[in-house]
Amino acid sequence: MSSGSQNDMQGRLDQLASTLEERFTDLSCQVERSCGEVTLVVPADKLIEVANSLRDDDEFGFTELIDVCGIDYADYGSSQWQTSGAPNTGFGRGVTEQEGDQPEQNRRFAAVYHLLSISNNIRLRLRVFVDTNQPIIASVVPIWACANWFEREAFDLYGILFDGHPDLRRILTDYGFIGHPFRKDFPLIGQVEMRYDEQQGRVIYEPVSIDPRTLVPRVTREDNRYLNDDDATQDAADA
Amino acid sequence: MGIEGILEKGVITTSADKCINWARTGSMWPMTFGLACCAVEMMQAAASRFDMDRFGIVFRPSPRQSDVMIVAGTLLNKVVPALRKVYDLMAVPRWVFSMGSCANGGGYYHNSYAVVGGCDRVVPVDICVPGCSSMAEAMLYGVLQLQDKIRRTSTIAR
Repeated sequence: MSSGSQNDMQGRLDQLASTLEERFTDLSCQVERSCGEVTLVVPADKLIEVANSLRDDDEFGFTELIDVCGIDYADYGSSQWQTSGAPNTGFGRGVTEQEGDQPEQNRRFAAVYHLLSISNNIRLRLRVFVDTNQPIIASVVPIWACANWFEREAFDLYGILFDGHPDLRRILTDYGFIGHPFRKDFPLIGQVEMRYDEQQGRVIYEPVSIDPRTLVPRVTREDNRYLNDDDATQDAADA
Repeated sequence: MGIEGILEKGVITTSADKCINWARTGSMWPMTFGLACCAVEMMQAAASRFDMDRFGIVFRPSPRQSDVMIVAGTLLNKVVPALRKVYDLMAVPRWVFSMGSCANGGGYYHNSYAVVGGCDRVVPVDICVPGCSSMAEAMLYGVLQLQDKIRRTSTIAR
């Protein structure tokens, strides 16, 4: 950072984390360290203030926004994938609505911002949890113009609304699409399917006709990975 | 009949159907239209190594000038109206080539909310080429199959 005495990445990350704590704990932000990366959890109403400081202050200099994305934390951490077999309902993420571990109130949706400071050669992640029922958050397009399409994508796939966005339309899904397909409660097969109708002479939408199906990989031969079926850790590693 | 012996005078006789089908099989011009990764293999089949030019296949940038549509890749819901419009703009006779698993039946993405389970829901398909993605050799085999199919159709006696 400003002193320049620490050249190694770890030292710079430590310094960034301590500076962030110093500056933003008053705004009830939290600093998390994991896997050699720094994450700043920002309350939704403080995002613009924090983002402005991060971009403009010399000690940060995060002039570049790498990515904005949404996250749905419903069923987060539930271990339905870690099995060597499959129950009757299958893995079921996209097939049936699961009663998994529901996150606590207003911890379901989050917007995540990845920042890069070129002047200080360091990266930072912001995570902003938004209200579950009314997922509205301030847009950062006035701060980083490249957030425009990223925020449209997060709106399209997760239904997170970005207040102040100049043109908040869907970007990826079909014209007239209903729903937000990356939410965990959106069925994988969707609601409608398309075909061409000879009588009407145009393409029409119909409710989906294919059954929800679970694709379970089936082992047709034994190999050395399946020698110790009793070994629970072995099963977990296979899954 | 009176046609015996005219070959000596430099005249060949044939049926109109054979003549028309010879012309059609010799210049199947596909629409330049790629949807996904299969389009790369389609380009490979058209480029110098496999060279679909040998069969008179020249890619055209306009549906008005095309005889064949190659549906190369995953057909998403969003592109279906455009695909159908391109097909409607093509002049009859026209043929549809479905290339790869996704165009044939949705393939890997059959259960997806965004993908059409097979382009035969939208346009009538003449030839399905399997593969993910179809090899260029398979494409050429499909071209030969389509030529056979065209030869079997009669234009005058329906």
